[in-house]
Amino acid sequence: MQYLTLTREDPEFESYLLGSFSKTERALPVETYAPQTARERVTFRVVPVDQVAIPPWWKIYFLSCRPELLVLTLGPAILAWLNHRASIEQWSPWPSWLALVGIVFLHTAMFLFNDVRDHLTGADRLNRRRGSRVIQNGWVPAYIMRRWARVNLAFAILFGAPALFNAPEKLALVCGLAAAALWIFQKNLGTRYGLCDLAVIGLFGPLLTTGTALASFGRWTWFDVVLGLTLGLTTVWVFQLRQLEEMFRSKPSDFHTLLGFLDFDRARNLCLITGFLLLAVHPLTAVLLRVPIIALVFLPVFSMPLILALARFHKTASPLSGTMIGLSRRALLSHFTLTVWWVGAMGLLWL
Amino acid sequence: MKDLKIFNKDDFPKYLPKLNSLYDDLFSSGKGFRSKLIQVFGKHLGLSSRQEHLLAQTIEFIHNASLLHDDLIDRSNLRRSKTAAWLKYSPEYAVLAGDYLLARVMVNLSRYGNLRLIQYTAEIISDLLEGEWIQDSLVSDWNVQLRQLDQVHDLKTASLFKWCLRAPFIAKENYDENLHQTLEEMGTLLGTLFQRGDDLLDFDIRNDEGKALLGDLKSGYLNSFAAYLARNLSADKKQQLRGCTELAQVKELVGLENFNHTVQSFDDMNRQVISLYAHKAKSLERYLLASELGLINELMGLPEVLYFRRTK
Repeated sequence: MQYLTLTREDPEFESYLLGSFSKTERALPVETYAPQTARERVTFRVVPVDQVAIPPWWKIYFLSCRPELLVLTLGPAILAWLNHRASIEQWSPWPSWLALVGIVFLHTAMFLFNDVRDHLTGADRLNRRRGSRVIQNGWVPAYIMRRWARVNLAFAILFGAPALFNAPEKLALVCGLAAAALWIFQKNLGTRYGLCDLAVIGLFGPLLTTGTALASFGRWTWFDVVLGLTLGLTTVWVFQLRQLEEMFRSKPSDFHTLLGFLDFDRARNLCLITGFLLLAVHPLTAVLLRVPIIALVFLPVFSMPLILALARFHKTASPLSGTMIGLSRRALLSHFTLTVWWVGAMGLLWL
Repeated sequence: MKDLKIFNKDDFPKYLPKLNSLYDDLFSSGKGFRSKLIQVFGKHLGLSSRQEHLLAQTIEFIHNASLLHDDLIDRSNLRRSKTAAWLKYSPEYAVLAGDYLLARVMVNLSRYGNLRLIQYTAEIISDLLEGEWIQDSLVSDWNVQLRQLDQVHDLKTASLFKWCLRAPFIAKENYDENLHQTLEEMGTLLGTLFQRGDDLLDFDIRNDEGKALLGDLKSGYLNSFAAYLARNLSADKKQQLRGCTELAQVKELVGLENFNHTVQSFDDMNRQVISLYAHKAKSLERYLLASELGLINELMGLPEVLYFRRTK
């Protein structure tokens, strides 16, 4: 087995991380010390490409798209569309469908960029559960993945552009706010004050719902914002639980997250408060949007994954406890079941 | 290798009741592996006998202080086949005797006067305590995984190995950053291997020293091998694993063939850690003086001793 340890000072360091050092070999990171510092050292296992079991490209692409997270982006978009059922005669089908495809490309581009960023900063090298693991498994070098991300972003802009004509000024404002939120999120700005979490709420909530409403119908309502805030809060809970899962692991490199600034007990309590808030916010929003009573009756059933996730970690005593494992997956499942419930409830409203 | 006298009654106040007899019990039967490691470094780096003694005493004091506290936290009745200090004397004396050893470490090091050594030692002690704290939060956690335990052991076990590897160079005032980083990484790997090897003893694997079986499991703690063994068990079987008091019960629960296969795959996984360690040990060539290169060979043999418990 051939190992190679490189430090930031080594001229080849970046090319090994990006995977551009060779066409015939892959460098799989085995160990990382002091990431995000000038003293960062990474030990790679260098293996010939033909010794890496690489799945077909479409499978790699599918995994890299993070389909399990599509509910975070497509869910609010579909619900915003359903929220405007009364204005169906104003619906512009083509720009709307194209915008939906654009959202999928944007989702893919975001998570591809995120995978590359996590790989380069060391976040996913410390946490072996994080990301799609496509780069770490040696299936695709980081520099190629970055190209994929750029192509997806170009497609997202291309497919999203026609929708701009539905409400040029308002959509430009939404896109501008989304770009600002994305910038805050990518740069980890103001994490101590929860600015990053607010950016997540905005991106996966009101900006997505109002943006979809504008792109599809050329108008927005305050109900889009309320619905967006509810879904954005649900998404931020997924992010919070992932941060809680990684709290101990992130410590050595001091990755900045809101939870990272709190001690473990307070961080856990914040996650619990957000979770309980969700239990209250979803039915309240549903009442505000006047969903049928029959749908409300089923809401507790669809909230079960959320309740079970809360029950699982409310007594967790340690950041390294076994109950911490898979918490964000449970939160994602909660998001999924609640989104499914919302789609059903809004569908009933249509009927 | 000559035996270093780590504990000397004259170094401690005689007016403190039971203190010296407590330390006598504690220091008389340890293997002194860490102090022997210091001697190996001393030989190759040309440390003076004063430096060698100071370092050996420091690491053994820290280690034994942690054992005093550990036994009380775990409520272990035995230490090195003798009644544990907290039980023989009192919990209060066990805590104070541990604290006193740590205080003596700081007194001795300050007298020596190498500020970096004092600072590094203090960091290691705080890592050790963090590890103890986290480990205590994992008692009765039956879902904990090997990767998580490795992080605890990096703080609790590996920190002392890191110290053994780095402190002799600090004493020699060699502060080469790359050298220390490599040694730090080697210490992490050695700590992991030592702990994993030690945890296997609980399951009577290479248990030539006759350590009591299933001690961790009985104390409500899933050790690294137990976590590895339990990784594919159903919740029901994990529940049953908690109640096992005999090794035969564990083997029956998971199936003998599966148990043996798990030991083998655990060993294979650790052989990879050993090869990574060897890569790092070899890379020391770049940072050592010609007169110090003999150290690499000695370090290469450590994983066999620590994980496979092969005595040289």
